[in-house]
Amino acid sequence: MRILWNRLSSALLVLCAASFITFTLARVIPSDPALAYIGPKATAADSAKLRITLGLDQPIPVQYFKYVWQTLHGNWGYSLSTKQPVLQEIINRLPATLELIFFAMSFAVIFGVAMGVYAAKYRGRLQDSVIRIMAIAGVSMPAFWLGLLLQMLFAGRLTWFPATGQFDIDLKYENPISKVTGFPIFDSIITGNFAATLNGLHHMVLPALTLSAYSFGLLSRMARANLLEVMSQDYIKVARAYGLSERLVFFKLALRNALPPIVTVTGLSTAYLITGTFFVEQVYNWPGIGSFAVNSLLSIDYPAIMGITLLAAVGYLVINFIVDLIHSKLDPRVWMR
Amino acid sequence: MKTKLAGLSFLFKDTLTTIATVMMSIFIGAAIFAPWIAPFPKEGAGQTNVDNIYIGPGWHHVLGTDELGRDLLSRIIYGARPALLIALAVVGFAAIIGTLLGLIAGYRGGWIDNIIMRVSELFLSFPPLLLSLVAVTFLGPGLVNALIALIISWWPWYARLIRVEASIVRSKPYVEISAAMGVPDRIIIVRHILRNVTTPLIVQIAADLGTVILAAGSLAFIGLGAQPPSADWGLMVAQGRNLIFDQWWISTFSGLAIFLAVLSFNIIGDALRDHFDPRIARQ
Amino acid sequence: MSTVLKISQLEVDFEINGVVTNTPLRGINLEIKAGKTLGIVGETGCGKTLTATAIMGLLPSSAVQRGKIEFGDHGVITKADMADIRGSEITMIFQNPQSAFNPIFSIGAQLTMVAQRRGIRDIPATLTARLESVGLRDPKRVLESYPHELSGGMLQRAMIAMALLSSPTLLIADEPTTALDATIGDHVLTLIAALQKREGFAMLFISHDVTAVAKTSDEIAVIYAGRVVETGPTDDVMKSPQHPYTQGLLGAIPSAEKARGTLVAIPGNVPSVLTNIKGCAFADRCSLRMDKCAQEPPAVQIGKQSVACWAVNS
Repeated sequence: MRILWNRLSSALLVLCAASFITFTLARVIPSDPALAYIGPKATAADSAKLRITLGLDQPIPVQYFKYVWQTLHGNWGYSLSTKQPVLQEIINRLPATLELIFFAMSFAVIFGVAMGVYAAKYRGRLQDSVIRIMAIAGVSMPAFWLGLLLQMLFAGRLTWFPATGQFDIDLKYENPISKVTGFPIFDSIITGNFAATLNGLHHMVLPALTLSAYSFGLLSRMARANLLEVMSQDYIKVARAYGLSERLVFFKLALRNALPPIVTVTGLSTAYLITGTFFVEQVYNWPGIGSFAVNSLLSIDYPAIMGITLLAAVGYLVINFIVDLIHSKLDPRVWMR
Repeated sequence: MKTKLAGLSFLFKDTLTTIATVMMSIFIGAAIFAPWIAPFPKEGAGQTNVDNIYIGPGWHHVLGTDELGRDLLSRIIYGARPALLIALAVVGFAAIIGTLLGLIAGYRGGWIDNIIMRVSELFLSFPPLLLSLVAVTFLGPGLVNALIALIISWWPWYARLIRVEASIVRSKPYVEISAAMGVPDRIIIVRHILRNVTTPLIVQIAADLGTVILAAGSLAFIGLGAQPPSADWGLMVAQGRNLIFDQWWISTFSGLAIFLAVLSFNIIGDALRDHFDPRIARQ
Repeated sequence: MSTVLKISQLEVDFEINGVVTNTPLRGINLEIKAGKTLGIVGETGCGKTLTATAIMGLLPSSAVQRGKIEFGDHGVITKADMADIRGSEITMIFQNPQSAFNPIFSIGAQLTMVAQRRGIRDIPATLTARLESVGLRDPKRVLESYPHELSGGMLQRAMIAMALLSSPTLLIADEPTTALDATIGDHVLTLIAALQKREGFAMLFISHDVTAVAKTSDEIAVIYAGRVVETGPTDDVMKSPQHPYTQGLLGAIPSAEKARGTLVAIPGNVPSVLTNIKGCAFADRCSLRMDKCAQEPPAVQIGKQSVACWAVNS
């Protein structure tokens, strides 16, 4: 219980610091934040007015506290490009990205770990070499390039999959999805709208595959390495000496021991997924946070950028927190300290 | 350690590693000797040739030409320059800054250690690349700013790595004895700590070179890195992006260059790590 | 008295791609009688643990094994036979109890896995009784604990309990007290002796510590560089060691009587790669070296002892 409290408090600390960094980047670095805010075309009078509105005439610490206060109350400012509240934009676009991350992560974890385990079992043989090459290729591939390649091959040449978008454009009219949770594919399953589910999954394949490549490589490498290290431990030899079957030794004992670090790496690779969505959503025109983020960056949409950064930092923290929890549940040496 | 590295035979230990070593040599060679290797050096450097736009791969232009008629192969060869430059500069500076701070933190301990580590953790609490993206946005696009942004993101990894190793070595008996005997700090650091720290440092650097190229390419793809007419691979992929279905060669080969460069660094990084394996202190 | 285990000319090579890289065992001959303890003593690297591994049939695939191992009623056994015998009729306890237990499972879980493998009914009662028999007074707590929560001594007792679950005919103890404090180790040895008397298993006791071996064993075998150089009843070997190496070994033991004299150390080092040894491996460290030592000395019987040394063989 105390560990929980420790983690929580340090997480909060990091969150505060994260918001401070974001704030610093947005307000302190640019020479004239107000000018940057409204763009070079504004008049001097406008920018003077804006300066007062934004509170830029006040000392930095005051500005910071105001920022924190507003953020905590759900006022994340207004996007310069879309003119909508930043928080609203984020909420609108979050489900699409979360679904994408879910599918990508599931694929990466299931196949990555499975293939890593398989490679460890057949160490030194052909299967092992093939999987290792795939894994190292996965972590070396630029996500945007892979996305373009898949688009070109499977959507352009082979037309097996759609090139862009989350759903077919006609879906709104033919099989509209009723909103239950806000997550389109899951809603379509819940409401029995399987035509829409199929369509959504069809659109999901290429982007999810692209996004999963890096994590797949990372996880399969880690799984393989960990398993091999565990297999060389004394307690495995002892288990064999007591006549326990190889099957029991491998699947029950070794795998369980190799699991905790894999869980940790899963958390880490989710971080890569978060920034990965920036590029994948761009390439596939996915209506999520990623493409919103890129547009905000390119148009220097300060409120939006700060909102997204905060969101990413929070998300990263939450994921790591959950991962830590799972890890300590799996490894008694940790939760007993 | 010096003798082990002098035996560079590990670079050729198996087929895959050998291929990677060859690729990396080509990459470095291309960066250094671009004007002499590239079939159309002027075009590689940026000169346009509007009569030749969008020629597909063939005899005259092995990889085709881009949207401004420049020979793609030459552009890719010239693209090795910014890639290598960014990789070396970012990793170099990040390693130096990070190592310095890590050494101080690990050796001194106390409040300096605390501050440096808290700050590092702060930077590390963001998903990697996000910080660079935001920093570059506020600094303005361009190669140099991308460099700075990446260095800002990368140094904490080194600081943390070095700090852990440094504090481990610091508490070893032979170091405590040296300190008690009055050996000056800087000598202890150089003689004992640095020596033990070198191996994991090298492994990390090798791995990071690849990762930085990937990150820099990503920044350029979005438009926040190197700017035209620079022959930056990420930029080139972006320029060919909308043409992917017809003039597919532009994005495909530029991205392939990034992939192969990063791949070779990763493979060599692996070989390096296996080579030093027994010496690396595992946490 | 029946022989429980008989090893004849056990040799082990390690090979890579058909090329022999190392020959750690160059001809081991041992015999263990029912209910008795044979102690194997020798320096680190002489092949004691490897002998145990070979007996258990757990040598890696890069090892080539020659020679005969006969066990109880089974007669000559092969590596395949061992898959059924190990863990049931032959069990083993290991040097480092902390690393021998799986850190993420409780002791109870691990003992249960072994008990299930042996087809034991009523596992909780059996485990509790076993843990009590090895001197653990709070079996329930031990069963629920994880390895890192228990002390070395307790873990070693738990391991002994695990080894005796199947009522084995032969227990192999590989350096069981080396990782423990001296007093705790002593308790463990006493415990093992008491258990042996009560349950009647034979034991192969391996250690580099001559004193521990002498205390627990009925017979001693001294191994040097992969060969048995001397065997015999413990008292005889301790009182009148025949082989120069044994003499050196015993001379090196600190004791109160020797407090005034100097400890005798055997000059030189154990040969490193044991593939190309011609003749007696101990020759270049031996003060009784002769020309004849260029040939491998056969084992000769002197009284109840068996010695492999030319110098004694006259």
